[in-house]
Amino acid sequence: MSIKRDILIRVQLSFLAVIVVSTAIIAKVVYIQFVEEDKWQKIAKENALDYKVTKAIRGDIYAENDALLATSVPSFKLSFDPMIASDSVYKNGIAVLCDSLSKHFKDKTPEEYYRKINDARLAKRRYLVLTNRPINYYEQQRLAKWPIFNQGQRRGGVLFEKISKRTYPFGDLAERLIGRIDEKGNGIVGLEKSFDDTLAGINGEALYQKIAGGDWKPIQTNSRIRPIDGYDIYSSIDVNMQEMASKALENRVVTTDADFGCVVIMDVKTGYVKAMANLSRTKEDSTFSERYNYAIGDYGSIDPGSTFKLASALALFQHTDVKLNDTVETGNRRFRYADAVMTDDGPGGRLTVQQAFEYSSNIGVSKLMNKYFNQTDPQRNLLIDYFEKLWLAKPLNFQIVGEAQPIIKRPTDPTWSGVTIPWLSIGYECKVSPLQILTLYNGIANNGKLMKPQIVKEIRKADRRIRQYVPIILNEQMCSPEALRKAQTILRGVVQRGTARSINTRAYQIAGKTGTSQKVVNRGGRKRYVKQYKTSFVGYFPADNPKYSCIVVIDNPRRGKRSGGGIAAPVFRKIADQLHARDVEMRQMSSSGSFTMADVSNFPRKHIGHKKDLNVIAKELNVVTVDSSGTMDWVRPFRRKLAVQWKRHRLSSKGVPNVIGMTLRDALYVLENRKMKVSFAGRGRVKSQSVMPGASIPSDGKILLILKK
Amino acid sequence: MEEASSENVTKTNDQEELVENYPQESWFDRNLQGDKFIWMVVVALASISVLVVYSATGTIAYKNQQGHSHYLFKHSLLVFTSLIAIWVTHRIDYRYYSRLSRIALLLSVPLLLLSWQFGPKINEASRWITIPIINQSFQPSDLAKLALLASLASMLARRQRSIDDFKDAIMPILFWVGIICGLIGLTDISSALLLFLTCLILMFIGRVPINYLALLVVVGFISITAALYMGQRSGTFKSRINAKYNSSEIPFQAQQSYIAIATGGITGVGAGNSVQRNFLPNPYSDFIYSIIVEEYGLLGGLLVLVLYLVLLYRGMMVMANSKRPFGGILSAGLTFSIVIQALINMAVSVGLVPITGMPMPLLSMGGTSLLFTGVALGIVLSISRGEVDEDIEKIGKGGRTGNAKRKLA
Repeated sequence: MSIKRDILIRVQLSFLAVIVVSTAIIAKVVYIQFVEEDKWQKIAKENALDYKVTKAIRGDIYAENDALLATSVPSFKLSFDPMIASDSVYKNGIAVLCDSLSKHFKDKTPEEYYRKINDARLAKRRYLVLTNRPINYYEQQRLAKWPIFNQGQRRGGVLFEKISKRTYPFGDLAERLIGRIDEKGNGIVGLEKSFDDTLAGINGEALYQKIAGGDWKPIQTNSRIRPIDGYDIYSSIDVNMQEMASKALENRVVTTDADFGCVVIMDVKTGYVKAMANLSRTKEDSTFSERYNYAIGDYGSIDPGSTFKLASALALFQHTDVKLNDTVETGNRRFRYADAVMTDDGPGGRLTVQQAFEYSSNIGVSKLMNKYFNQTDPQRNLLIDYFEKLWLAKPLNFQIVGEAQPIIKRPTDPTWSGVTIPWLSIGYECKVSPLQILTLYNGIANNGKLMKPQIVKEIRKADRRIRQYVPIILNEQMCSPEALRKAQTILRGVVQRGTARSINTRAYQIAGKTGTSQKVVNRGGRKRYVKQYKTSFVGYFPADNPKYSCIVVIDNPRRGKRSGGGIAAPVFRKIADQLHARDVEMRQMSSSGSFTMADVSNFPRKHIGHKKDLNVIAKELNVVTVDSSGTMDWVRPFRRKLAVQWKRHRLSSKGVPNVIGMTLRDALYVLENRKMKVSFAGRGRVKSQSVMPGASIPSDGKILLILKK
Repeated sequence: MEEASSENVTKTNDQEELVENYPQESWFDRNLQGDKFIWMVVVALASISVLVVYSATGTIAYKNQQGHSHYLFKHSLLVFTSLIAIWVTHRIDYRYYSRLSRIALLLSVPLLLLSWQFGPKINEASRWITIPIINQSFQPSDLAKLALLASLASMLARRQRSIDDFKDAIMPILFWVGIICGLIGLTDISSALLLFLTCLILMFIGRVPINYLALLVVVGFISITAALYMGQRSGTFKSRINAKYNSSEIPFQAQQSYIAIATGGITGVGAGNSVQRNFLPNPYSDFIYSIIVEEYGLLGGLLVLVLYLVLLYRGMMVMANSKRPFGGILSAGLTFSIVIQALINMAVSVGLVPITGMPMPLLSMGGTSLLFTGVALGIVLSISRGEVDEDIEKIGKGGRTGNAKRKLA
């Protein structure tokens, strides 16, 4: 018992100690609340604290060869606390500062700047935004040396508030594809939107305390969240191809006065998209810009037209024993299916199967399809199932948002009718995007292996690979080798003999298919064709060893031949020509070797250059040259029938030389040899120069060149 | 002492009611055995906990861009789990805990070493290990603490007759206290100090002579100094001590805590209206008492304090009523451990001691702390119930109790 008593007494003693501590705690609470209350309330008011977002840096978007398509550049907002500078600093510096500001930003006179700053100082304002234009790092470095500003934030009152600015080094090239962000920094279209989460990173937050002078000091606390910067996106876009495609498309859309157009170039073996250009006309002022992705979106997908005939051909070759030299009667180019009449731009009469496709005979193709696939339900189902296997009936889950939901009707569809198959077989009554059509042709080019189109290859964080998008095979074998051979034969035939023979070249082989679909409007429940067309061409090259596939769509051209062969195919040819010429690898693979063919039309016109350089080019092109320039180094080429003639180009021996027609490289060489300071705008060759040739060199030696392709 | 006597009055009333209701045994009587006041305190604190944590997580919930109720749900679930833990542990005869505690003690040594060397670092200290499969982070020091206190109670109880014998009675105790406090000190000095303090009190209660306690202070001092040099936390520890005693400027966190207490006044700014939760680090854990005072005022702060004192008082009563020294010492040790931790948390909030990262038992958000507090309370309840068991032996229980008796003897 004495043990227990002892223990109890000890417990009670301990309890007493606890009571003492508890009393102390309550006493301290009371002390803080009643004695120190004013002190803490005051600190609470003064201690302005705020959580401020620390922005994560948005990731970059890269093209092939690490060309930078979109990046976040740190820049600064220039503001000023006019109350900080002491009277002596202010008086000594303000005049020069206002002068410098005016000279640098060119938005106000020095007097206006003085009034703005001085008024604010008199009114005891603590915060003044000097200019709304963001300034870059180099400007900031320079501005920091100006009077008053050179006293820093504490004594001079200058504030360089860091903001991040999204810049696109290639300007509006592929604007829609790369995308843009809104003021809050969220992607709104294109890759910026599709990979918004990946690019954005996670903003951090930190607690800041306001200290004297209007400055915020970060407070280290456990609750601080560091920002996690966004990942970088590595796309498969090739900037040169994109530029090429974009230029060729723009040229065509403008000259034909079309509504919109798009071009997609794909790497045959991998399915990576190398270029995706779009152009649309603005309703108001008829200018053109890239603002909708027709290659994948709804507006570009309605009724693909004759380019769809490849799918029909594949179905015929895969599931029937139709031979290329079987015949079909196309009559007088008008044919009635039930209550609908189909017209035909083909030659009419009896055609072989091969000719029906090569001349894009609507009646020929639809009759074949009607015969083999529209007799029984199993046939119809077989056909639609096959189109699904060709990935025409479901979205490709392309990496860019905005993909249209394709429509290929099934026989169970309520709007299915007896004429669905004839019209579907020639690319009407369906919705398939240009990208899907291109994917199909790419599959044929890739020997029947259907590749998934992809535009993003990798996601990286600095040097660390986060995710890789390897080429994906959608369908290992789209069709039998025999069907593949037949399909390749007719696509080659289209260019050799058929509707696209105008773009045939002996330099390399093009295979493809034209498309001209007439626009349909619903009038009183009946479909009416109006005289508006969507023209397209899709194909691949070189046909004997395909490297690239490409689709060109030009919608509603108002000028020129309104057919796929006449409007879209030349764009394809232009792109293919450039790619072919550029691609050394392809040149070596090219079998026909037409580069040994001497053709003066291959030689660039109006290219003024150094004789030695031009001789190298001429030799490369196997062009005979006639030199009538004498001893002059700089020459102007003239195309003659069988040769190119060099004529002398006068630079003018004194004063400013004539550099019009030269490449920038040559012009810089010539001008800088005469100690001139050159600035330039644009790309391509020199179109005009700011100081006339022959005039005396200006005292500052400055000259501006305007370049144009 | 006034509170304590008034509690006595209510207690008598309650017992009378119980006697009246005895014939129809209610669900509560059958399932919630042991001291009714402890149960009430538990339920009261758990309710306050859910309320205050919900309010205090307003800030991180916002920052993590998740629904605010995410934390409410998570915390409520944890509170509920710890209530389950209380219930389960209070159903087990407390005498088993003597043996269990020794196993847990042996287990906690490798676990502590594991978390020191391999645990993920949260706020620069690796106190946690993550249990594989269920993926729940787990603080081994909580287990070690409980195991040490229970073992200590067991050792003290067994050696009551020879408590003056240094070699047989004191040496093993000093050994374990040194080892466990030292290991915890490697990653968490404050917890080690708190545990050491609790051990001292427990030994004082367990009649260890004062001169040996003085020796223990020396041992503790040495092991904690060693831990400081070997461990990760010496920098933080020094800076905190410096901040408290060598600097005229009150640290930022303390300032914010005082502002919370000052703005609270007598009745507080009202539930969910805390402003300081945005500025206090861990307002849902380390500084939860400041938030309680801010939202519920001096009265709310007093209520929480009184609840803990009631808990301690009832723990003491359990001890007074227990017939075995093990139960008595264990009950006292566990309740003291909980209440001392609560008092230290409050003392930090009001600025009586330097800032430590100590959660408020039963109130703060946090998985293992809640759970092990629950287990500790369950054991106390089991002890309070155990004495009832000996009066009314139930069928089937006798054998088990008998076995336990034999094993313990």
